[in-house]
Amino acid sequence: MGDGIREGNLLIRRRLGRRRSDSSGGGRRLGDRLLLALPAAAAIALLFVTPIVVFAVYSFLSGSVYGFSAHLPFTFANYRAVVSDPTIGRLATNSVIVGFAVAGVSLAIGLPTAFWLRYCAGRFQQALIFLLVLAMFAGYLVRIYAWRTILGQDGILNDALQRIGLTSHPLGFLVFSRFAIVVALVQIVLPFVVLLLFAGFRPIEPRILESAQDLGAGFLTRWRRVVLPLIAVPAGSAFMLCILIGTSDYVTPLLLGAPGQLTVGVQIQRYFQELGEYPFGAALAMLVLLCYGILYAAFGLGFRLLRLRRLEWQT
Amino acid sequence: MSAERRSIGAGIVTAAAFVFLFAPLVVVIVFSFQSSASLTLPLTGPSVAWYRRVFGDPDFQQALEHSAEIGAIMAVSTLVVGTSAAYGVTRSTLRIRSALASLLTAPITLPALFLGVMLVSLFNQISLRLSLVTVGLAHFVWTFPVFFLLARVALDRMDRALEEVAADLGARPLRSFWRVTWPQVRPLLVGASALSFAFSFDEFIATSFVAGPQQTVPLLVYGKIRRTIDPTINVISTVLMAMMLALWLGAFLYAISRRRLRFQPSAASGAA
Amino acid sequence: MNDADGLRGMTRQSLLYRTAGAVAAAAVPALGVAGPAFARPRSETSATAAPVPQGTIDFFGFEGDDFSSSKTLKQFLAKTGARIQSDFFPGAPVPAIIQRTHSGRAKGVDIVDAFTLFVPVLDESGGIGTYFQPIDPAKVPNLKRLIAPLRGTNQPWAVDGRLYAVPVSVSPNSPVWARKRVNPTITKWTDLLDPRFKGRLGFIAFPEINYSLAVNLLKLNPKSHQAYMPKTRLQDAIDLLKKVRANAKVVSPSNGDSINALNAGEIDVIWGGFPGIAVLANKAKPQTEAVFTIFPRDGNINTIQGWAIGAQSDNVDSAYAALNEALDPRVQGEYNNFIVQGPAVQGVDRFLKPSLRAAYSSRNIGRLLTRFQLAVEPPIKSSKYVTAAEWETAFAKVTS
Repeated sequence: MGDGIREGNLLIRRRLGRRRSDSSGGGRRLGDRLLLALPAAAAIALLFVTPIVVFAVYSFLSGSVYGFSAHLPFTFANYRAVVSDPTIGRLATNSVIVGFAVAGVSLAIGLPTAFWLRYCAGRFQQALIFLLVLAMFAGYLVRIYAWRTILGQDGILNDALQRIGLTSHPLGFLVFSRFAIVVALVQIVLPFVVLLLFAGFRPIEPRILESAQDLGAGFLTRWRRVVLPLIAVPAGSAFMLCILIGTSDYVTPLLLGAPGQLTVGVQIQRYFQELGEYPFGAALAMLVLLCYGILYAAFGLGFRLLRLRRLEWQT
Repeated sequence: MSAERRSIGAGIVTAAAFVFLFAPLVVVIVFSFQSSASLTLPLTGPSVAWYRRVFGDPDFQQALEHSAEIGAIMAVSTLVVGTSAAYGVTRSTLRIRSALASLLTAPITLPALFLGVMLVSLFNQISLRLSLVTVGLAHFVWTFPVFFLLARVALDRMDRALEEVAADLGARPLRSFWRVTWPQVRPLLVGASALSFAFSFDEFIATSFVAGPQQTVPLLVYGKIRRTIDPTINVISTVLMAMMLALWLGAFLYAISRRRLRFQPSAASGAA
Repeated sequence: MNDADGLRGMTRQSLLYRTAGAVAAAAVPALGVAGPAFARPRSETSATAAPVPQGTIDFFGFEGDDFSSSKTLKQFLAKTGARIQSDFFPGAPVPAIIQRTHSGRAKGVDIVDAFTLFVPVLDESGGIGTYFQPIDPAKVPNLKRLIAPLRGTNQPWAVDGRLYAVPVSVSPNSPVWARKRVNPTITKWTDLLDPRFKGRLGFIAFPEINYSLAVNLLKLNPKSHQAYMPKTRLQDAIDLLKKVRANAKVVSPSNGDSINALNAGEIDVIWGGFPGIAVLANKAKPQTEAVFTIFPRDGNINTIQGWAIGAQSDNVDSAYAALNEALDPRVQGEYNNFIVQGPAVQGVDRFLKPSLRAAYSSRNIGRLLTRFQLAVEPPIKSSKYVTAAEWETAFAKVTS
């Protein structure tokens, strides 16, 4: 259809006496169009870049309990304290465990789901995606308490399992455990993961898979050599998203975890909101950001080495 | 044949995924209609007492107002600023545009916790009082990158041939945008704008850092669980879900009802 | 800088003697003062010098602590067109008060929910006058109704001989348990450390409550009426809390959270809670049959809830009027029936619910106040006692 328009365009140009190569007055203005993005750039610079700078500076300043501020002198003490604190080490370990668990489970569920939605859903595709989006906005805290009702000892799942006869007494590990934390976080993150992977599957035409099959590739080979490389970059984004949310979320472990399973986010929140020790909280957060940065860089490097790239649409 | 078998496996996983996704939401809704106050089994009789209590609660009404205000402002501001930014980026040939685009989507790389504490640091440094204004600023950083990403995709993928035609015919850029570009991308952008509203309405973690004395709905829910946890939080959540459903249904129906502008080839070729 | 030791470290006996003297000392100026010339007419009761309330009285505190449960107070205020408008602490109270003041939003806050633990630490953190106004006893005639141990200016909520808060309720802690699921019953806090509760205990992790509770149960500072923790005994406190955590199935950040777990049958006992938890749990699910004891045999701590008048209040006289009325026995009865705490004034017994009359008779409140130590907020700086920062680090290690 675009060809039809272009044909028509050429006709019009000929009619107007313009040469084919004439960019019809737009060339000069194309560069200026970027100026339209200036307000947005200013907003982001003010509300994202500046805070990061202030924040980074804070991490080198000094603060005090209930101070709710940062002031001179400059010091490395905050970083030294963070790195040497064994509690923070334990929180970091918890964060890593939860982050990777959430990422693994979400991808394991999300990949087949996105695949099915892309290739097998047919006319239900739009409706199901609509449902998926709907599931993202159901209120954060209430869902956590709903999991208690579902996973509790006298809860829905245990009740059902016992009625069916699969278990004879309630399973205690379902709630107030890492299992519960991961389940709740996966439920929160899954719509995003599925949508990201779905977007990644979009450009991959079904006939690519069919031709691979025709050429004799078995199921595993098809996946390993055709699908996975094509989906790698979106899957990497989805993975990072899970890590980000799994490591920084502090409310879910607080309300659904066993004692000793809190994540690093809770300490950042405590230092900022309860103790008012901004510089210390900033130092801790900067170190976590550094870890995220390393992870991002690792993914980028890995993809580049393996020569995996994000697919572009062909219109 | 093996493709089918694969599909069945994937289909089962998909079904399980949807059940899993909606299980807690169903529980939330069901327990909002229970007469018992304790959010535990066994199920007691149905009751709308909690709904009556929530709707009569002035704190809830105020929080709802605040959240709706901010959400609406986010929807409009991301639409205006985001569309122009995406248009600028996609219609430009300068090499700097991809760097600029990366800047505009950068906030998405950070979880809300970090956005919250960073903005609190900034506001503290410039002595800006925490209020709905600071909440609005935080929500803008939170919702803008998503809108920009979607708008950029929409504007990239649309057929620009008509824009060229319009330019050839001498239309000025603004008119060209309004009459040619906008109708094509409007459904997607309106949907993305609704997304901004939804993200803003639902945001809790960053908001908890930058909020002043005025509460939003998620903050209200968090305050409620302090003293005792009762079905009023389920009610609030169910009401939210109903709101989002209405909003999304509206945006969705709007999007699929507007097909792409169809060019009638006969009109042009017949003009010779 | 104000150190936490000093004039407020006193024994229980000397407290009684001193309050007797303080009452006498306070009575003289209260009776003699004619008060500044009030432009407004006086209220009906002839002896009172309390101002007349008008307009909106802005309250900043915990939900429910604004006496919104007292119809009598509401009616009293409404008679002259006044009402209380409440704003709740977004999180921990002391940082909330400090942050709100420093960020310039304390202007217009008339009444602040001020527990006794707050005044010393707020004084440390910029001077008490930054946050609260000194109380003018002449404007609060009902001060005379206060229970003896709460009267006078030789109290943790007074600084340099001036009152900065007025007690409005006495809140002891208590272990809470589900009666039917716990046999034999609980008589001491340390019963909760028993191995039979492994995985059945809910641990409410409020840092200051656990600080003071540890001090009292382990008798770390027996001669002081306030539960400040000597630095040398920090490890003992941590060891105790580690034992609590060992039994814990859930570490709760709020009262509501532990109620939910108790009613869901996930836990049978709660450490670090209040009588109100038991009452609320039963209200939500009567089958739980939660019970409490405010006289555990191994010790307990009291928190005294007070109302302070904000330093930047713009409706001071109305705040005084509300404060004075809050000390009325009927109002006290209504409030404490709701919040399940003990009245701060005499003559409330007949207004209490029968189920609470036994626990919170004035005789019992007197016993509570003399027998148990007052809860404190860890000081910001101290050479003798465990500070807020030290406690936060140590406590986080146990609960994170």
